[in-house]
This record gives sequence, C-alpha cells and structure tokens, in this order.
Amino acid sequence: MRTAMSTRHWTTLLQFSDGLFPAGAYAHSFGLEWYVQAGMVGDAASLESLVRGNLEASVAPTDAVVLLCSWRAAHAEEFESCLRIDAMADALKAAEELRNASRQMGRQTLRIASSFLAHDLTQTFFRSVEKCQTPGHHPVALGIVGSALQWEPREMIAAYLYSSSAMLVNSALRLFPLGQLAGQRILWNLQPLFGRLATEVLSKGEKDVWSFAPALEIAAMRHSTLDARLFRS
Amino acid sequence: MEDGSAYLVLLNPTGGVLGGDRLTSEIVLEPFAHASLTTSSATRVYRTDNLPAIQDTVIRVGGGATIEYFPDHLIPHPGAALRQSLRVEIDRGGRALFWEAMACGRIGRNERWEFRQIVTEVEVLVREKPAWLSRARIDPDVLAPKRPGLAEAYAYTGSLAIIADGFTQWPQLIAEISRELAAFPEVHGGVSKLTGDGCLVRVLANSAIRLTGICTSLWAIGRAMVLGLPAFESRKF
Repeated sequence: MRTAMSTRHWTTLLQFSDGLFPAGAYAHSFGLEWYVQAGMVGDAASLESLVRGNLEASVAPTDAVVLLCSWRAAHAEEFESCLRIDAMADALKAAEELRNASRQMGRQTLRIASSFLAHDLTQTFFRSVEKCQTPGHHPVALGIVGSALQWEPREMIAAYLYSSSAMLVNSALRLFPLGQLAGQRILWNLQPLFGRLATEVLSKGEKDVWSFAPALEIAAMRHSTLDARLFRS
Repeated sequence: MEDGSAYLVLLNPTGGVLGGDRLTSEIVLEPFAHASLTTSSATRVYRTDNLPAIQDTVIRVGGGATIEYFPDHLIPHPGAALRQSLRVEIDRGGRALFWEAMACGRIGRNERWEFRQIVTEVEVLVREKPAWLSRARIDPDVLAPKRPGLAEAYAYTGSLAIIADGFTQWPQLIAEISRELAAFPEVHGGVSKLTGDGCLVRVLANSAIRLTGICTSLWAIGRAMVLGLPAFESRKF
C-alpha cells in the first residue's frame, strides 16, 4: 500500500471511518428509505446502482471535495477558511434532512475528537459549532480532524467514500432482505471506484464542487412525508 | 401591472445560443421595486465543436424589493455545450422567486442526453450570507444521467427557489407546495426549507407541458403566500 502515514495515523483514520464510530450515521438512510418504500430499490443490483450514482454524482464531487478543502484549510491553520467552507457546505445541502444529518454527524465527530485530541483548531471549531456560530458539517469536521491526525489526503478521501457507501449498505440491510454477503459484494464491486474518485478529487478546490443527483435530492426531500419511517433521513 | 410591478419579457432575437456566445445580464432592483421577468420561449443551445456558450446573470435585489424571474427552459441540441451562472444578491427584506429548468434534448426528436456538457451554477446571497448554492456539471458521456438517483427516466429537470428575507410562514408554504406536488399528475418533485429564509422545489417531468404546468402552479402558490398577490396570465402561450 502506498502511504506516507505512520501506522498510528493510519489506524486513527480507520477508527474515524469505522461503522462503530458513533457519529450517528446509523440513524440516517440519506434518501434510501424513500427509494425502498417506493419499490425502486429492493435487491442488490438496484442498491449497487443507487450507491454508485450517489458516489459519482454527489458524494465525490461535493462532500469529498469539501473534506479535502477543509483538510487543506486546517493544515494551513486558516480558521476563517474553515468557517467559509462550512457555510458553503450548508448552502450546498438544499434538502433539510441531509443538511441536518451532516450537521449532526459533524458535531458528534467534533465532540468525540475534541475529548482526546489536543489540537487548537479542532477545539476552536468545536466551540464555534457549540455556540451555533457555524453549522459544523461532517466533511468539514472530518477534514479538520484529519489534518490534526496527519491523514494523507488520498487515503482520507478514499476512506470517506468507502464509509459513505458502507452507511447506505448498512441501512439497506435493515430496510429489506439483503444478505450480509450481498452487502459485502456491493462494497467489493465499488473498490476500484473509491480509488479512481479519490484520485480525481485530489486536484479539486472550492470552485470545483458540483453535484447532479436531483432524484436522490427529491427522495431526501420526500422522506419526511413517509407515513412510517425507520430512519431520520 | 395593476399591482404596481413591472412585467418584462427578455428576448434573444436569435432564438438560441451558439458556441462562443457570451451573454451577460445584470438586473438591478432598487429598494422596494418589483419586477417579473420571463423569456418569450425556450432557449435553444446549439451544437458546438469548440467553445461553449456562456450565459451569466446577476440579479441585485435592493431592500424590500421583489424579483420574479421565470425564464423558459433550456433545450440543448446534440453536441451543445453551455456554461450558465445565476447570482442573486438580496438585501434586507428582499424577495426572490425564480425558476431554472432544462430539457435533456429535443424530446420531439427523441434526442436525450446527446449534448456535450452543461454546467449551471446558482448562488444566492441574503444580506451577504450564502443561502443556496447549486452547481451541476452534466457530461452525459461520463455521468450517465439516466441512472437511479440522477435524472432517471425523466426528460426535464426544474428548480423553483423562493427566498424571502424575514418571511416566517415557511412550514405553511412548504405544506401547500407538498400538497400541490402530490396532486399534480406526471411530475415527481420535492420541497425543502433552505438554510436561511428560503425553500427549494426540485421537479422532474417527462413533458414540457407538465413542467410548465407545475412551474405555473407553484409560482401562483408562492405569489399568494409570500407576496400576497394573485397569479397573472403571462400571455405567452
């Protein structure tokens, strides 16, 4: 594996990307629950297709770029840039449930990180989130923590793309009969995509953020109108 | 208009935009002015082998002023390339209702997603704070827009933004829009509150009639609830 990270830094990236990390992702399906209830996703093939679309048209060109920009800003110790990127992330998330999910996960990430990480910018940013001076979006929080823990950007981005996909697969396991093996096969099939997209994201900046996933956005907007819901988004 | 607002139709006599064209519009509303702007018909984006067409629009909404901006949708021809931006700057108490939509091609000729690239950017600032930012980059050959989660099988995409600094009845407005979206035939859409004083409606449709219909219907709801004004006949069709 090509990495300049020490084993310790590498395992901290694993810790923050793990499904066990209590950022609160378990409470969100990011629009998937609407798709399942609409009968549009109900097997491994339809799920994999949706996860791929979400990665290529939304997570990679938006959240992963925001993650990288925050990492760079934190690396340069530019607190004001972190606030500007956070405000941009808030304006980019038009669907309220997705915006709230990202804020909640960011706040949790900061709460945990700041409890054992003596890093001025992480602590200052967390205080600003607690005072409602900035929304504290998940990729922004993670980028700041990633800078403190010396994560290599390419590995950090790939891990973020992986964990975003794993969250959807985990949600699917609770929404319809999908075997553990089928879920793992989807993540296995996506492995080449994580690397390719991480490489693409590396050269991007704030002006390069984009997305085109209107149907996923509509699903997230309509999720709150479902009669019975397992997830908060 | 009877309500004191100005109603203007923006006309591009060429009927479309060509590669290398650069169209820039700056619309300034002085405090408490009210203008409704539209276009005479859809904007065709023609094939280009070289430079994209560029359309940049800036709308500055003064304190207490109101803009309603409802251009017809884009129709990109095969091989077309367009970069389009809309920046809306709203001062204290200002209001903006605007629409942005596109077809995925000349649907009557069964052309879908055959254009080269369309990049659209919408940036809304309310009292200098970002209220909504949307950047879409559609390269159909790379992105495969018919996939689940993207445009799926729909031929038209549209977005209606209603921004009103100081407006408080967002839950009621969103509920009314949700009811209309659920009742309107052959349109798939959703509505959500934006981060500041605004809401956004995304719609997908399979015909221009349905797209135009839902736009007109939601515009009327926004006009009534946010501006306190009745809908009016645009006299275009």
